[in-house]
Amino acid sequence: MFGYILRRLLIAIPTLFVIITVAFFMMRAAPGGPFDGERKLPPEVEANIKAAYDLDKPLIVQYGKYLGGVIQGDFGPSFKQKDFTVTELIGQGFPVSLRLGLSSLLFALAVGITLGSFAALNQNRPADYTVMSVAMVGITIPAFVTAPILTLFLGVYWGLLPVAGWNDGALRNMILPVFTLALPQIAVISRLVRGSMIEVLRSNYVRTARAKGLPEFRVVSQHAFKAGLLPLVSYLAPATAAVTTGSVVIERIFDLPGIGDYFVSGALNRDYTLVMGVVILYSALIIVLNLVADVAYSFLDPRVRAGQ
Amino acid sequence: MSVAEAMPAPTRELVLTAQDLSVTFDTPDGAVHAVKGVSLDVAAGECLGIVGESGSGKSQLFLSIMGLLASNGAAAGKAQFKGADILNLSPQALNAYRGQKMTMIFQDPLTSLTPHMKIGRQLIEVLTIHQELTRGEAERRALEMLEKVRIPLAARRMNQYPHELSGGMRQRVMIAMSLLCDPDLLIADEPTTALDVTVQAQILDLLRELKDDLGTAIVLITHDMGVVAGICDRINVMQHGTFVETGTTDEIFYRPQHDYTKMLLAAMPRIDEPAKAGPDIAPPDTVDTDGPPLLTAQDVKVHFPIRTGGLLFGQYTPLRAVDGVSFSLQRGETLGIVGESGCGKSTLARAVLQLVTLSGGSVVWAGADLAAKSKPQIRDLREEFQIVFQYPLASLDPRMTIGESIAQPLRRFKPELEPEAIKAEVRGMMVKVGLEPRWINRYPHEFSGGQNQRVGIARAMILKPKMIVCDEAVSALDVSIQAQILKLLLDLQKEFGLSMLFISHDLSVVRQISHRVMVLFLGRIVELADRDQIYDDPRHPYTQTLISAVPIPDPVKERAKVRLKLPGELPSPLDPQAGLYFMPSKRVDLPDPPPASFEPYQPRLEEVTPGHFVAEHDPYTPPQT
Amino acid sequence: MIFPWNRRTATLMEEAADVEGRSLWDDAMRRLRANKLAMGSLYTLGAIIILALFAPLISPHAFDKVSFICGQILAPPTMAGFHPFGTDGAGRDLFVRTLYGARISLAVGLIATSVALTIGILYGAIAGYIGGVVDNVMMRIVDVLYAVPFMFFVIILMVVFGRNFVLLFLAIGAVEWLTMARIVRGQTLSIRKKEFIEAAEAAGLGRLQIIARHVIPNVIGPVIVYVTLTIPAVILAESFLSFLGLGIQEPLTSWGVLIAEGKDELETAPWMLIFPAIFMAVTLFCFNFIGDGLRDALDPKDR
Repeated sequence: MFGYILRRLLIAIPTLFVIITVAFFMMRAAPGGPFDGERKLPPEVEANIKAAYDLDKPLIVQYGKYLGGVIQGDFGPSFKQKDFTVTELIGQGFPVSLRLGLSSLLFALAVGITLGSFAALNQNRPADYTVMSVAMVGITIPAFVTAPILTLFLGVYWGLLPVAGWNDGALRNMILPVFTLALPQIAVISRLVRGSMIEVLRSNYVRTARAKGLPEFRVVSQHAFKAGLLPLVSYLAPATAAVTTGSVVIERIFDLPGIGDYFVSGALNRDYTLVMGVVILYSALIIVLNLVADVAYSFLDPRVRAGQ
Repeated sequence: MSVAEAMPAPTRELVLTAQDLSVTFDTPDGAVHAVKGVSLDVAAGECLGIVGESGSGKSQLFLSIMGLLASNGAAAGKAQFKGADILNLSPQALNAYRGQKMTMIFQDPLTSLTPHMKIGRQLIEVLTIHQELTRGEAERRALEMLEKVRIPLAARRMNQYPHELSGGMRQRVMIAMSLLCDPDLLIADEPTTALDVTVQAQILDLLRELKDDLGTAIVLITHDMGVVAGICDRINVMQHGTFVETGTTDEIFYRPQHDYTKMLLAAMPRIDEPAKAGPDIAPPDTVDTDGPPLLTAQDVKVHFPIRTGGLLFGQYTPLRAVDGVSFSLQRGETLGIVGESGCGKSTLARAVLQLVTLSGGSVVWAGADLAAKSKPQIRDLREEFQIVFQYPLASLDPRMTIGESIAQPLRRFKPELEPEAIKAEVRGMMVKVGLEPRWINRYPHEFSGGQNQRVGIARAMILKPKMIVCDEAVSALDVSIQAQILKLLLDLQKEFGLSMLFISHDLSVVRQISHRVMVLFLGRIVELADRDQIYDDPRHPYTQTLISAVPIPDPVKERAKVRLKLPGELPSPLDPQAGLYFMPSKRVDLPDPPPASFEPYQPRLEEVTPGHFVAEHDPYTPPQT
Repeated sequence: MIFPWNRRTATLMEEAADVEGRSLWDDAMRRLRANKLAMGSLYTLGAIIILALFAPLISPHAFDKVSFICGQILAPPTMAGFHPFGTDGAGRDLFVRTLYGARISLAVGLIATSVALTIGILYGAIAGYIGGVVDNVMMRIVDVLYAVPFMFFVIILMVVFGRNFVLLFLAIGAVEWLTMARIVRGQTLSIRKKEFIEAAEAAGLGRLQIIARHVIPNVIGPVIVYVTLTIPAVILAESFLSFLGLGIQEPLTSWGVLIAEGKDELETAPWMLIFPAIFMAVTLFCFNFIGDGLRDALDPKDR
């Protein structure tokens, strides 16, 4: 087991390195620099600025310095927000995004697992069809459609919830963003859980459990549930990727001060260092989660554990 | 009329009765009537055999009684357990019987145990639910029961997961689980079909003891007439959802009335009387004894690297699937290769056909060493040796018509043939293997297993090869179909002077069809001789055990038979000294992991009488059970 | 003179015409035709495609010009002057713009999916067929790429190289190929282990012949299913980017752009959000239902 984690870590590090490298050179390949502002700067001022940001050094030196910084958690200064370093900006925005993403993910897991198992236990009955229709809506209608419509009704017409803003993460401000961000994941998770639960409920060992005369609740909770939820563990990392991507839109619509919002404005104003900082952070997050998911999987399934 | 009805003996305490029970499945293609109104009864201390081929409805009948039908199935009629109606009860009401008074075990013990729960927990929960025992008491009872079904190191097994146990052990766990609450009735659905023959014998012994010692009523559902012969008191023969014949075991075996029963008994291969199948099913007199051998295998080895640990780069141990096998095959000869699962018989076949790479040794085909040939040269040679597979449906491309499948080798080797000529040849071959030529454009999924196996044979035979390898070619088929396919193979052998390597785990079938027989154990030959020599005078303890374990479809003989037992636990195939299982005197103590250079002692083959080869082994008399 | 045996064969051969077999495809199509939801979706989708192709040609309005008939901005839906969906903030006809958006969105869906299909099939088939270490390394790479928040990279691409129409197609396609590769590889691997491949090998066929005659025809089914499910995912991805202002640019339009515009006028002109959103949702529904229907039809035991 230890060897397995070690192997996975040794894969994760070069992956992150490749991501940083690709992102770095892509940004530098961009035509037009970050300081091609509205008015032309005098050459000596421009040279000073470039020297301050190391832009006058050869590319490879810039890359080396950047890499060195990243290892120490320093993502360099922001190109656009002159008084801030990227690390500071992320430090401000990340807690907001983390709270939003984590709440959505947990909410989606709770609702998705419940709905999916419920549908599986009532396979091909009206309850199943209802859940699956709702799931289809969740998959086909994107957050940037549901969010404005929900805001219009709950926020504007009925005035039940605030239309936008973070307000230090007050529950009332969280409800709409969390729900709209979670909706597509609820749909995917419930479909996933339904499919795998149906398969498990048809398996020979569930038949054995029933033949043993166990109460139906025990059959489902002890014998079917664990195996039925295993595919979810592998879905954890893709789900995180989807939630972080989705949070970009949600943060913009609800005007939340998270790093997704920074990322889009950074991308629109060519704030290279900020954009790269966010990408590296998210990649690292997802890689770590992938690792956690794999390790968790092998703990949950004794057959995989033996295989390693 | 069944005996039970004819003689209502007052001593028979009925445990289970069913009247006019039927099971129907609602499928997209309409209603399927799996069971069509059957009646039966089982009394305490009695074993009832339910014999039928695949699709006869025998399993569904008892699944409906246990309330375990799939969601699209419905049962009607009446079923009573000790006088109480139990058919179509709610799961909650049924649980007063299921798992305690009436239990069931299934065919595949690996998938029938919950993979993520330890054995102990799966046993204990039965007791805590049904008998409200405390955990400690339950644990003690569970352990006792594991010991009772003779599981070695029972205490350790409690903490293991199902995949860590062998197939036979798992089935013992299933049996232990079903006995925990002293049931009145045990339903065993093909309990030994997935197991090797020596393990099957042990499980059947266990069931017999149960019946005799505890008075448990047993229903034994099986396709195998041999399995019911030694253990059942009465037998119901099932076909197309009805009982075509019921009676005592002796009546069914010695005085069968119904044609279907007679056919089943006649089709059943007999290890004790191979001639009983008639002159049609016997090795024909086609062996060319004087000519040079068609095929010679010399010290063939196939090793697969298996990852056994290591932190980063992995540490690999060779799995010696085939470890030094030598034999030769004459023109027109059939060599039977038998052994239990994992003995390397299929790998050996693929090595001979050059479908897997040899790790050592050589294969000489018609005087030419195949190792010296290039891949394209070997491909060109494939015209001369062909293979028939175990699972007929899997061996045919589902998207090709059977005509295209049969024509494929022709197109490859005779590209000059016109499409019309190819079609004519395919039709001719279809007639020969008993398929209607107008089916040429049909697809495999439209046929039964037996018909698809005919397609597979037609494909193998279309180039008139010199040899075909039959890899468990009849094992997946019902006995009635099995006999037809065997006859077809023998007819083709007579017509074309074909040589065959006939690989099977079924010793009875091998005896019927082979000129010579080779017994494999863990990748090595333990015995090789003419067929009657090896069956009538087996010399190696493994061969002796194997033959004694085969059930004989003759109740008197089967009850009187003496069974032999293998010593101790079987070795892991990864153990480099596994080949010394029967020769412990040559084992040496090894460090773990063993040094890569270590070469264990190789038992030699000794010719005890002309043509009868036996592997060296320590003197050993297998204990009788 | 005909010998009896020959005569029997001859009669057997001539007696009846060949029975036509039902191929797996025939069966699947029969099942699909019986699936009302999937067939309804197929017809609806057809109608949307025909509308998108021809309606802008027939309508009196241009998608990028202020309507010369009414000239009113944010006009509610009206048949007067033929503005069935109303007009937008610049006075342009929303009906024509929605259908123009449909063209772009569908085009992105088809082209990006083809890109994903090409890369995915090649990659997956190679990994699955060669197997062993090559497979291990190739699939490890896919696993790793799965962990990358790709949408962010597409955004960087769009920023760095400008909002280029073609680049957008390629970039989204390059994101979606991963799952395709996994599916193709998994299928190839399971087919490669089937006995009929070994049978073909035993019949003397070479590797390429086996891939062409046995592997590819058997992989096509699941791939088609996945393609129908990838198209809606790609349409969503494009509209996501366009919504953020990082995708299609004025005067061209797509559903994402229209929804972003509609969101800002939600209180004053809700039709600006509702009509493009309905079109997009219906299209996505259709693709998903067709995909699900195809999967059930091709693999009926999974129902």
